[in-house]
Amino acid sequence: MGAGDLVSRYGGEVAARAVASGPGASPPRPFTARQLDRLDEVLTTCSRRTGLVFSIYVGALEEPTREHAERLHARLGDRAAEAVLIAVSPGQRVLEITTGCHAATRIPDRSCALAALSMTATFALGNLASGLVDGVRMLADQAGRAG
Amino acid sequence: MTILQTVVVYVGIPAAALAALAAVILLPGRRRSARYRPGRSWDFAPVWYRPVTDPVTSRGEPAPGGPAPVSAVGGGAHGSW
Repeated sequence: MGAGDLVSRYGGEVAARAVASGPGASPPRPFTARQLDRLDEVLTTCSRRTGLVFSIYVGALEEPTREHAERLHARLGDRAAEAVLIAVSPGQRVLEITTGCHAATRIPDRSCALAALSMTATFALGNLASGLVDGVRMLADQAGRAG
Repeated sequence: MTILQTVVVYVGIPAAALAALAAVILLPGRRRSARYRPGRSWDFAPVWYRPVTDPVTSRGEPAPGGPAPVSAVGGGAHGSW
């Protein structure tokens, strides 16, 4: 496993990976191996079940944070319409959930706001990974199964 | 029993047992203390977990001057803590 890469245990088509933004990606990572496993598992299973693309970004966001999150979302390319990006900046204590135009029909903004509320409550206790896992699960439950 | 044996049995063994117990209790807590705490600075490099099969192959921000990606944003939410 290379530095910055997160290989899915399932080896499926939606296996998640970590992409370090910027050339000088430092080796220390914010999550333990067990937390990465849980994140990987929840991203893989939720993406598979819903047919949407769940993605998590953890790092600094430029001001205005909403526009930066939307730029990141646009970089998901052809699948941006069905992508759900959860961008978290722990340093700024900001969370931005961005849904693509197709994903937004299945996950209304009200559900995003509810998930954001739940996640920020968990983040405030210092539980970054479990907040992300629960947030992805809430959004995926709202989206329902693919079909 | 010599004095040395007495000291080993009645002082050395209990001290070793206490040290082992303290290590079991304190070491996991010390490892956990590296986690995120609200209000502290975030010194890690940004990470982005996304599906392997996505078409994005570039790393980091797009090069300046390149074509701006088309936005397909449909909604979302904002939160802070």
